[in-house]
Amino acid sequence: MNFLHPWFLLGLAAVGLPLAVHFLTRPRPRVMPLSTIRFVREAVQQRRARHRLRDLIVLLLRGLAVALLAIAFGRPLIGAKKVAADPGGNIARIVILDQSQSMSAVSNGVQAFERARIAAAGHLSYASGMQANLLLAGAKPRAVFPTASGNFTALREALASAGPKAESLNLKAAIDAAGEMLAKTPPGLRRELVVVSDFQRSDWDAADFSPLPKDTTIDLQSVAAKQTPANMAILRVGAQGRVEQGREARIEVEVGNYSNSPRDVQVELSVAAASYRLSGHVSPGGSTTLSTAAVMPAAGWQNGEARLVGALDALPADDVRSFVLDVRAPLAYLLITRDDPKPHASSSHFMERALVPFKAREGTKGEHLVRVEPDALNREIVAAADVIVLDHPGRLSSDSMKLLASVLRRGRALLYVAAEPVDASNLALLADAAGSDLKMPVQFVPPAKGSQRQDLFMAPSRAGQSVFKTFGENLGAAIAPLRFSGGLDSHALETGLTDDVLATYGDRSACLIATTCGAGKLAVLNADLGQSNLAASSVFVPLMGELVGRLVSRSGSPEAAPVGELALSYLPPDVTAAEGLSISGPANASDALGTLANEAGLVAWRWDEAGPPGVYQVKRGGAVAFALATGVRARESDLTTIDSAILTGRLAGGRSVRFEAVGRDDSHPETAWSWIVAACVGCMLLEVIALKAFRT
Amino acid sequence: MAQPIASVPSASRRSRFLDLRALSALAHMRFVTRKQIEGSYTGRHRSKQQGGSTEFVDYREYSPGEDLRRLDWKVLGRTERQVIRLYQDETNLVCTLAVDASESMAFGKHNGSSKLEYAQFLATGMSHVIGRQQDQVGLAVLAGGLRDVLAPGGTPGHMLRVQASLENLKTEPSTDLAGSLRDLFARLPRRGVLVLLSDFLVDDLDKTFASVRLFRHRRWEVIVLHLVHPDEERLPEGLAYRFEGMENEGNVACSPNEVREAYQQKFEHHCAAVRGLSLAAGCDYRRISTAVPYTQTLGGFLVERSG
Repeated sequence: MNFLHPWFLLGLAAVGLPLAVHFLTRPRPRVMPLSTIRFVREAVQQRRARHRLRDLIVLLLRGLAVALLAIAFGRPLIGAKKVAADPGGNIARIVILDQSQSMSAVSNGVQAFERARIAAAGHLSYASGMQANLLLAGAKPRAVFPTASGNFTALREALASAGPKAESLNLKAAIDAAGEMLAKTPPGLRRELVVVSDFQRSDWDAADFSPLPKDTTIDLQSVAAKQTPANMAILRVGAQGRVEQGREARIEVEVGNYSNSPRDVQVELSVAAASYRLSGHVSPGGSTTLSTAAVMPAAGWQNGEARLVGALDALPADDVRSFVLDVRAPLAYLLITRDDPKPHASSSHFMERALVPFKAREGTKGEHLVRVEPDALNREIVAAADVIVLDHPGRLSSDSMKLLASVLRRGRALLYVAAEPVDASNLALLADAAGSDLKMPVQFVPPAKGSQRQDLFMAPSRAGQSVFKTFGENLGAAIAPLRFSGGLDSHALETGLTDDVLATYGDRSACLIATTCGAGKLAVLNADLGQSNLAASSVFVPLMGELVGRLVSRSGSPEAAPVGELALSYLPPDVTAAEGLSISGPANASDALGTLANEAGLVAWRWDEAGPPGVYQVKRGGAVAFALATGVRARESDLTTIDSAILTGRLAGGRSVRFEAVGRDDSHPETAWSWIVAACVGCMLLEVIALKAFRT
Repeated sequence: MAQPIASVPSASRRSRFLDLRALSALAHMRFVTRKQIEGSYTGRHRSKQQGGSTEFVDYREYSPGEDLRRLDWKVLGRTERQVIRLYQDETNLVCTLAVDASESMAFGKHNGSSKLEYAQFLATGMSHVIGRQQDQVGLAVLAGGLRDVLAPGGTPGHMLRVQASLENLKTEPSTDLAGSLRDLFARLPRRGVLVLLSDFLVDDLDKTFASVRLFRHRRWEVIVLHLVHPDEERLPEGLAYRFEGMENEGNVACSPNEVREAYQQKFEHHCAAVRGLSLAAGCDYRRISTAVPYTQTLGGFLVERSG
C-alpha cells in the first residue's frame, strides 16, 4: 500500500492519546473514611474483571479509531500501481500532470484529477537512483523543480496540493518544457516522460513529441472515463455589433452540447441589473446560439453573466461565463463639405440622409450629424465626432489633414467620398500625415485626361462580403442596376493589403476600400454620388449602415481573455494616459493583474497570465475606463478523448509510446480513505455500544 | 474486661444528649415488654411469676401441699372440687442498654452526626423514658471488649450516671461484639430486656448472634436496633473516592458510580442477614436510619411496642 500524504502517518503516534487523556483527565480522588469498606472492596473486586475487559475494549477501539483516522488522512492508494525501481537504478522521469479545466470533470462520482493524482503519485515514489520532476500543465507549464530531482517528498507535497485549474491545456508548452528538462539530464540516466491526462481530442490531436530527446520513453496514462461524460457548456457570450445606450441590442449566448442526445437548454442571462431567460434546443455534438434583445439604459462598461439552468453535467465549471458590454453613446457624425447646405440633389445631401435617416425624438439623445465647411474645421469639432465624413471637401490644407490623421489614429472613423480629382491630393496628404500607421491598399490618382469614368458597375470582392452580407442572396440582383460615375483612378500598392479593397469597378479601379490607421479606420467610397444612381437605389442606406458599422466596429463586447494566457488589450482611445489608472478583479483573483503602459498614444494593458474567470476592470477614480472578462477556451468543454491508436501511432513520431487507461477499475482505490473513515466511525459506534453493554 | 462502676464520671449535670423539650412529646408513652419478665419489685409489667395479684388468669387442680390460701373455697363449696385460682404476677422492667462503641460507629462525622452520637441520643432518651416509668435501666458499652457496665437501677442518681456514661462514650478502633455480649451475659444474672444498639459491622455475625442467643436462652427479651447511616446505604456521590477503612481495613480507590449497585447489593445482603439472624434468635429487630430524627425513631419504637 502506498500513501499520498505519508507524513500524516506520524499521526499514528496519537494512538497513545486515549491512554494519555485517560490519565490526564482522571479525577483526583477524595479521601473519606468509610465503615462499610469491606462491601466496597468486595464490589470493586467483583466488577474489576468486567471493567478491565470493558476498558481494554474501549482502549483498543479508541486507539484503532485514531490510527484509522491518521491512515485516512494519509490517503492510502490501495490498488494503485507502484512503479518498480529500475533494475539499473537510473531513470530521469518527468511527470506531466494535466490540470486543465477538463480534469475537473466528474464521472462515477470521482473527479478525473483525483484519479490522475493517484496515478501520478505512483510514478513519484522513491526508487534508488531515480530522479523525477512534476510538471503541472495548464495554460502554462509549472515545474516543481527546474530539473529532475531526488526530492520526492517535495514532489509529492506539490502533487498533494495541486488541483484542476480553470485553464485550457497548452500541450506544446508542456512538452517543450519537459523536453528541455530531459535534455539536461546527466548521461547514463534513462529518460522517461509520463503524461497523466484525460487526453482531450481538442488538445491532443496535434500533439508533437519531437521536442523530446529521441531516446525518451513516453508513457501516456489516461484517466478519462470509459465513456465520454455528457457535458453542456456556455461557449461564448457577446453582443451583436455595437451596443448603444437606449437602443435595442442583441446579446448572443452560444451553448454547446457535448453529449449523444439532443438537449433543451435554458440560460439565465443577467446584465446591467436586468435578467433574461433564454431557451432553445441543442443537437447532440453541436452548438446553438441563443439571443435576446436588451436595452442598455446607461452608457459605459456593463458586467454580465450567463448561466446554464438545470444542466446536470460532468463539468459544472463551464456552465457559467462572464462577459462585458461596452455600451456606447449614439453616433455623432461630422460632415465636412463645401456643398450648399440647403437640401438639394447633391452627394453630401444624399450622404447626410443615408447616415441619419431619422431624427432623434425630442428629449432623447440619438444619432446626429453636424455639417461644417472645411475652413471651419477645428480640433474641438473633430474631437466631438465619432465618424467624420468628407464629401466634396475641395482642397484641404495640410494642417487640416494632419488634424484628421491624428484623430484617425486615436480611434475615430473616417469615410471619404472621393468624387473629384482634388480628392486624390487630399488622400495623398492624409497618407503622408498618418505616416506608417496608414497603409492604403491602393493609391488614388485623378483620372487620366480624356478618360470618362461613368456607367461603372460594382463588383464586391471576397473581403467585402462582410459589408454586403446584409443583402444575402439578393446581393447580385441588388447591385446589378447600380451604375457609378465620377471618382478616381487607382493603382494597387504593394505595401497595402488587397483584403482592404471591398469592391472594385469593372475597370479594376477600387470602388470601396476600408483600412485601419492606428486605432481608427478609414473607408474611401470612390464615386460621385450626385452622378451615380447608388443614392437613388434601395441599396444605399443599408450599404452605408454596414460600412459605418464596420468603421466603428469596436464590438459591444470584447472577446474574453483566455485564463492563464497572455492577454494584451488596448484601452479605448479616450483613455490617454496610464497614470492614475487602477485594475480590480473578482474576489478570487490574485494580486498580479497585469501592467498598464503608454504605447503609441494608447494605453496597453499587458497581462502575462490572465486571472481566473470573471470580470476585471480598469478604473480611473471610481469610473470604469475599460473592462475585460476572462474565461476558459471553449474547446476545453469538449470532453471527447483522442483515440489511443493515434497517439501511439501517427503522433508518436517513431518514439516508444505506451498508452494505458488507469483508474477505471471497480476497486476505486482513491475512495479507500472514505472507507477507512467509515471504519473509524464504526469503531466509535462500537465503543458506545461497548460502554452501553458494560453499563450496570 | 469491664471497668468498675466507680470509674463512671460524675453525673452532677444533665447530659447534652438529653433533650427534655424534644422528649416531652413522648411523655404519655411507655416502654412496654412483649414477653413476661422477671423483676425485683412489683410493677406494671407482666412477671414470669404467677402469684397473688389481682389479675385472674386460670384455675388449676389443687395438689396436696400447696398453699391453702390460694384454694378457691367458693368452688369447693359448690362443686366439692379442689381448685387453685391462678393470678398474673406483675413486676417492674429491668432493661440493659448495650451500645456498640466500635470505630465503625464513628462513621457519619463528615456529614453531621455519627452513628454513635445518634445511638447516644437514642439510648439517653430511652433511659429517660424507662426511668420515668419507675423501671430499672442498666448500661453496657461494647467495643474491643465489655468496657463499661452499669447494673440496672431505678434511682434518679443511677439514671444520671447512665446518661453521663452515655455522654462520655468514645469509640475504639477494634471490635469484639460477640465476646463483649458473652461477658455481659455473665455479668447479668437476672432476666430482663436487652436493647442492643449496633451497626453490626463485625467480621462474624454468626458468632455475634450466638452470644445474643445466650440471652434468649435465658428468656431475655432482646431488642436489636440496627443503626445505618444513609451514606452506608448508598455510597456518597462523587467521581472518585479513596475510602479508608475505620478499623484498620486498608483503603480502596474507586468511582462510587461504578460500584454502587454491587455495593448496595452487598450492604442490603448484610442488613438482611442481621435481620434474619435477629428474628431467628427470637429478637425484636428494627433497622434505624440515622437520617430519621431520633425522637421520631423513639416515638415510633414505643408506639409499636405498646400496640
